[in-house]
Amino acid sequence: MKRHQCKLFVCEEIIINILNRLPLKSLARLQCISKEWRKYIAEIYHCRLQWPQPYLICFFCVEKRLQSRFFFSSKESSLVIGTSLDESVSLIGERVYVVASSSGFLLCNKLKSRQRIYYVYNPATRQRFDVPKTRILMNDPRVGFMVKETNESVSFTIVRYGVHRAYFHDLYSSVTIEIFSSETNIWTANKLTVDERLLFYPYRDETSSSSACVVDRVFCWLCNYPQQVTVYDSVKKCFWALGLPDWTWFLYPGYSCLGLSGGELCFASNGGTAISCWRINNFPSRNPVWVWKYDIDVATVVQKCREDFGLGGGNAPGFKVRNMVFHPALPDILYLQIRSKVISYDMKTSSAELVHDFGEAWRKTVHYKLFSYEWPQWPHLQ
Amino acid sequence: MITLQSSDKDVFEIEQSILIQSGTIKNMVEDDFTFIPLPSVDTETLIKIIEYMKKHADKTDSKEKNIKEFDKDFMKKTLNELFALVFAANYLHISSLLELLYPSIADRIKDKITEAIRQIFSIRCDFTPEEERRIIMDNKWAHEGTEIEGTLD
Repeated sequence: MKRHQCKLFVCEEIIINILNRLPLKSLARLQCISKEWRKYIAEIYHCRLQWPQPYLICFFCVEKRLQSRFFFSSKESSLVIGTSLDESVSLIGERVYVVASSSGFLLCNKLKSRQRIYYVYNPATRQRFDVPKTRILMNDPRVGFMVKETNESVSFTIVRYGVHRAYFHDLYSSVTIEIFSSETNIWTANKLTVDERLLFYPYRDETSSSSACVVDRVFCWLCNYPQQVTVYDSVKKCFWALGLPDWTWFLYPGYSCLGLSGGELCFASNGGTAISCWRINNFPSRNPVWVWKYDIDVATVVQKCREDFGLGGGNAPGFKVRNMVFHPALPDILYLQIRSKVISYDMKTSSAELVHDFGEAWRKTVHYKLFSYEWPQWPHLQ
Repeated sequence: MITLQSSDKDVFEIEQSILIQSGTIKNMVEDDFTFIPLPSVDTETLIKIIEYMKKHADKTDSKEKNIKEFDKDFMKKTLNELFALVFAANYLHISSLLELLYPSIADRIKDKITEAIRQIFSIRCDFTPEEERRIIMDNKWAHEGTEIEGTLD
């Protein structure tokens, strides 16, 4: 006969060893067990926050199915993250699709709201902010999203702009820019006349990235035509253009990408046989210089991946790359979506690793968007 | 051959080569003990410990997959049994078994409600209800989610 028996005494060493294996969320929850546990947990939690953070690459399927998926690109994530984040996004409760991410927060657009209703959501902590409706209706705006998190609070800025042109060859464009700040909780709109040959033809197809890389409150978008980086400085409140180091056929996500990696602006251009990677390290000064970093031979990568990861054969390997994204912290790593698999390619060591397999026919993954989603800092223990 | 005696006074004769996985026993063997009483380990638990050590004594490459399977099944026990094992492994200094037990126990308890945890670990809450409520409110995000359960096993 053994009824459930309470342990008489579990020594401190054992308790701490067990607590050490709990994910952060459980630790935070179990603080209220007793004063002693709270003490142990505070110390473990504090140490855990010093660990190198795992980085997640986030996938969103645009259009029809609108499923959001997360997966880990790092192996040591289970103690920090604990459970899957996939279901968390559906907790938003609305039909949304993700537009941008910053510091672990996602900017989502409500479906069928004509891009006027936004939510800011953290899938790890489930914090949610409902943004008031935008004042202006814009046709397919470019969006920028920046989050600032301190110990006490979270504040964020959303920037969106649309271009009006009267004529195709009109040199003077007017831009309507609308900015939301969580501190004021209102949208402010401005119409700017831009007299540089900037926003000539804001051609975008559904798969191009509409969200900005943000460096020091400066927002950057990759622009299709003309090929440039469109920059908005939210401090000086002006637009300017940054030339690209290389010319490509299309600024389609598989052919080029602009990203922020380790605080530096990076650009990759896929010419079909080789992907060239560039970096700027004196941005956002007005005369930045692109420095060439790497050339990746695409055929070799795809060939290697075919052997290692079972990717299909065929010609024109360069055009099999459907999406490219830079690792948010390590500029030597580029994520490539090749058909229905995502590979992380380390340009320094020329090694590839399979990160995710959609497990679907690759034509179904054609409209997938890739976001690099930085793992958030957990809220501090209160 | 070394003789181990459980708290229930049952004796087991095991080869030295298997038992040296336990740091405690290894030390005693080096001091020439051949009879080792273990007053804090009951028979049931000792049998399991011996089973574990026997399996892990033979660490050839071909057996590695077997050992992994064994370890997985070995952890499929009640929480009570796991705790008994962790006390014994702690006392006997069997680090490989501890490395197996800690994450297994952590995994079992990670989603349990606070009352269940207090019962399992026999902890008295020394917060006032007010203080406890405050801590929960301040860390609201950690208490959200559907996974939390209240069983004691």
